[in-house]
Amino acid sequence: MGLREFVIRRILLMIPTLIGVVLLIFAVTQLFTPGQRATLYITSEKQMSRIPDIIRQYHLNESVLLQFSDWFSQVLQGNLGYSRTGGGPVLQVMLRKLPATFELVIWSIPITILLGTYLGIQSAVHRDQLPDHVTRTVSIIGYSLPTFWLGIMLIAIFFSGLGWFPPERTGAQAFNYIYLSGHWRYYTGLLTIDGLLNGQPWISLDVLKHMVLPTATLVTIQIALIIRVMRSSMLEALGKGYVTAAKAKGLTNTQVINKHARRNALIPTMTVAGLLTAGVLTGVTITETVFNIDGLGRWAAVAAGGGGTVPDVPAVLGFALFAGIVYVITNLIVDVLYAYIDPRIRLG
Amino acid sequence: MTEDILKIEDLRLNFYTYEGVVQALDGVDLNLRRGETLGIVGETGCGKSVTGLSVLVIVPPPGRVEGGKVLFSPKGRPIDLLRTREAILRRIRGEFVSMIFQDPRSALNPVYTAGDQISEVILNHKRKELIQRALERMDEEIKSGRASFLAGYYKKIYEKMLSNPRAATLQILSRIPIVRRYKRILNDEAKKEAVNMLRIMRIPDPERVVDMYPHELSGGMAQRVVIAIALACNPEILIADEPTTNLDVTIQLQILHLIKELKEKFASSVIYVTHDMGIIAEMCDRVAVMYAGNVVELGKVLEIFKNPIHPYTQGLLESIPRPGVPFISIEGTVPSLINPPKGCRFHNRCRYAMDICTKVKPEMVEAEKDHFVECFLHQ
Amino acid sequence: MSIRSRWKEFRLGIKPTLDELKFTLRRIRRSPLSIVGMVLIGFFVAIAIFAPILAPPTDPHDPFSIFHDGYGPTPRPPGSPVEDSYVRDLGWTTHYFGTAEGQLDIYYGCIWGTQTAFRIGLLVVAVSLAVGLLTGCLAGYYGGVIDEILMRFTDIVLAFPGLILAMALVIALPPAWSIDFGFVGLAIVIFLALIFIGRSKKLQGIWTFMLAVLGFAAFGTLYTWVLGTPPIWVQTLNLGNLDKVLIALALVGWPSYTRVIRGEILRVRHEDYVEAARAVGCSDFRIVVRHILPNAIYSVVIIASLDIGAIVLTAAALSFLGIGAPVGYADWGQMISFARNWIWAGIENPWQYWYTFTIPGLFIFVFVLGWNLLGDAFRDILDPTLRRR
Repeated sequence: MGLREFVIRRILLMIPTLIGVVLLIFAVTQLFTPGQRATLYITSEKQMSRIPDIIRQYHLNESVLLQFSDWFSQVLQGNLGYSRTGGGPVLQVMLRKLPATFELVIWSIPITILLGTYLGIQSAVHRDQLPDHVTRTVSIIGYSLPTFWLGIMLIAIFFSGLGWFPPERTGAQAFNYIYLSGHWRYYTGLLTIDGLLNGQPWISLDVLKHMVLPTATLVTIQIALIIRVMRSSMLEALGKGYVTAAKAKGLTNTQVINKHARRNALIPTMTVAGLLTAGVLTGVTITETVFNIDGLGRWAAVAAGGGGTVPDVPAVLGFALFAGIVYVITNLIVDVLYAYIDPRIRLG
Repeated sequence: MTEDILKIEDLRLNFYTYEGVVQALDGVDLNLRRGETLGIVGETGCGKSVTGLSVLVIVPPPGRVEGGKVLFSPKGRPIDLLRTREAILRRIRGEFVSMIFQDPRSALNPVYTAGDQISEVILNHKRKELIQRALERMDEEIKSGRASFLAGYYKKIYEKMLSNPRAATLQILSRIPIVRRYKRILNDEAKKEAVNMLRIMRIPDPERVVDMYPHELSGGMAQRVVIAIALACNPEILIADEPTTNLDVTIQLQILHLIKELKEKFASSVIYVTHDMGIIAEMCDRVAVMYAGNVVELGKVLEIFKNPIHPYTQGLLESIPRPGVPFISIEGTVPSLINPPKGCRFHNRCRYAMDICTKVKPEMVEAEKDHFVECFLHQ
Repeated sequence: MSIRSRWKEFRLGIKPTLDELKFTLRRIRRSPLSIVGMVLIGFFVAIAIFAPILAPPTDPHDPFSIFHDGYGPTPRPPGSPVEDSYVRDLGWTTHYFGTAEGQLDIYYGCIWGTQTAFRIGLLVVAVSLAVGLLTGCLAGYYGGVIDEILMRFTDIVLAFPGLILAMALVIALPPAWSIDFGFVGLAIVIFLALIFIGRSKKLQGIWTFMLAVLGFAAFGTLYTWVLGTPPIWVQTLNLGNLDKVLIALALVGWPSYTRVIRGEILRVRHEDYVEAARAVGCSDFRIVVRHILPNAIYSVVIIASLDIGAIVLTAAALSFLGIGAPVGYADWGQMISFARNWIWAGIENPWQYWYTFTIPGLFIFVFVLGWNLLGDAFRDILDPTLRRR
């Protein structure tokens, strides 16, 4: 079929899913009262008092189709409503809080993948021996831990107990420098990189220290998935004919494992990368809450009910929409990568 | 009489499975003479493939060799492959003894090109030659002035590779992403060899095929690639494990002819494993008949076809369908090897079974000149 | 034929199944992980069953509300004596695990939280399984347009990470709903019966499907019309606000089962033995139930047991975030949610009140661990390709 046709076809397939995502979010909005739904259309605090007008303006008591066209056109213009807990229009709030979450994700996902594949391979190669049992036990424990509990325990042990790694995103000194001193320039929004670009490497180190625990939390929970899939696909690859054939060529065991089996085993593992994204998006919500990091996850958690009795509807829905779109696009990227790597698909 | 290049003595092998211990090989005795083609024939499950794998000592777990000797004598003094160090075995595999597998689709790694897989075995065993050739080529380029500015450095690296392959500098250089491009020269040399091999295999347009992936190749072509891999380093012994079983009949013939021709050209000794008596007749000088983990008869092909001594062989030859003759088959079924019958494993299907056959396993004796059999009828 | 020979035939026919079962049991016994998992779950089952004895409720009509020993905000450590005289008279003397903010007894919450956890896990998985099984079978077996539609729908729901969609649903659902499993169960049975009838009258696949959908809709309308309002036959469980969580989780959870069943059916559909069954005239229903499902069911069992753990974790997370069980409800996640306050106020010394989060968290962890061990062990045991090594 060729790579180009495959990519085009895959993108075309993505479109109905994206439409469906939008439709589903809209369906969820219909479960709310008209008053709550009105908050999806306002853009500032002041407009809160004009809610009855808004209800009339956007036909929030009338037909569903009208509501959908109104709502969708607003969404396309970037108006996802006003977030009370974020103190601004939803889209702006999301963009403001995105870097913190992104930084956490950028550190967690590669570590999870690299460490997970390595452990998975070791597990498969030493099947039913000590490394295998230890790895599987540890990964199953990681998978069974409630994310928030692990976070709290890590804080209690490594911060309160040992004083090594603090929670939150920065320490007090760095906080002052970044937010209050006026010297700071935002290059990427990622504090670890910006610290270097600003010529203040101590800030980067400080942020890294702060990120150890939340990253450890996310990695511990997610790594079990990668280990499991890598192990089983590796076991499958090791049982294949080309492994015996490779041995018959006189290759060392390491060569056979790394060169022949591993590349084949990585292919099915890639398909799980999508699930990994979902897990990370979920994990980020709780991890940011526990470690008090001001990112998208904590914002959505507070919006849902952490702040009080009235949920901040546009925030939660905005986050849900964001999560859905990110997930769909991640799956697209993974599928394309998968097609590229597996020559059976790439060349048809 | 030419000498043995391979001699298997009393080879025993078990598979330790959940269902029990499968006694797959129960004292296999056979020998391969220099330059001949020895066939191993038998039904599915008789242990012929496993015997081939044992020669290379790559029987996958849960299989384990329990006893016996596999004596390999490339230059006179025999060595027991079962007791050889793994490092030496790795040099032997692919270079002195190599194997053609039954299913080319599964024997080839789907994510590497045909050329890559042939080059792999060449790079593994003929590295020094390739380096020398690369150096010669680089010298030519430098003399004729066509060399790139990096040629000097590459030349130094390759000379180092020749003199001290394990040097620390090489270990480091080979891991740095862009610097390690120097390996490309070596890979190109190997690829040239691979193309050459494909040409010898009678594959049309080898320059194109060398870059193709296994799933793009037809069954016959894929099998030729497997053969190319096996013969790339000019092995002394070639073990062909049912190489044509999974192919169409018309292709089968081509591959058989190819193997015959290549044997002449490369002067190897061949062990040909099959269940097809017709192929034995066509391809082999001598044949070993296997049943339930034992070699029951061993001798020249013509001799055995004319004068089969062992009752099993007789039954095999009788059961070949002939027009006008009603079907004859050997009564009974192959026994389970978890609980094999005591004594001669064929006794419960043998029309000449005697009392001793149920108690004692017969030894291999020379019933007639150069015609061996394991049967109490001839002791 | 005499009864004896019939019995003999029956025994012969069933022997392969029994042998396979014995082999599975043997492998289960040999795998230490599955035994540990079963022991852990058995432990929790015991706690759940004996909850009324282990922690006699102070209010027999509402055993899921944890009793207050006063209303003070500071937690008290394990071993503290009970101060409220009313509670003491009922038999409580010490707070074995201490109290949380608001003087809620942690021991009581953990014990009755076990029942809550089982309810959540089993109910949600049962509903998700039923819906997923149904949609997966239809999509996989009939293929074509039905498959496309169902799979699109599944993809869309799957496009959201579970917790996030559940969050949105929980805050969206109006507080006045309750769950009616009787309705759902009855509807599914009628649905399947319609399919069966449809097939035996030799209707085409898609017509059968439409007939079934119509039947489902008709049944729903009839039910509503006859009973006046949306069905209210609820099981005798007082779930309180937890209903919303259950509904949300069930709505989010069914697609994984659909995917798995559909995948298995697609894999098995073209196997020779299915063709053979069709060649001798088996009806679709019979083929699905007797030939395809028994081969497909292994994956589902594995996913279901892993899912129970995941559902409990998600529910605990929702409670922790404040949108799950209400305050004072006997739910493990709920008891840990107080920890949020001192996190956001500035983290000082969490070890001081370690028992408020460590003990309930331990309960969650061990419970989920038990189910994960079981599911993992099942995967190793039931996976047909790995079985015989």
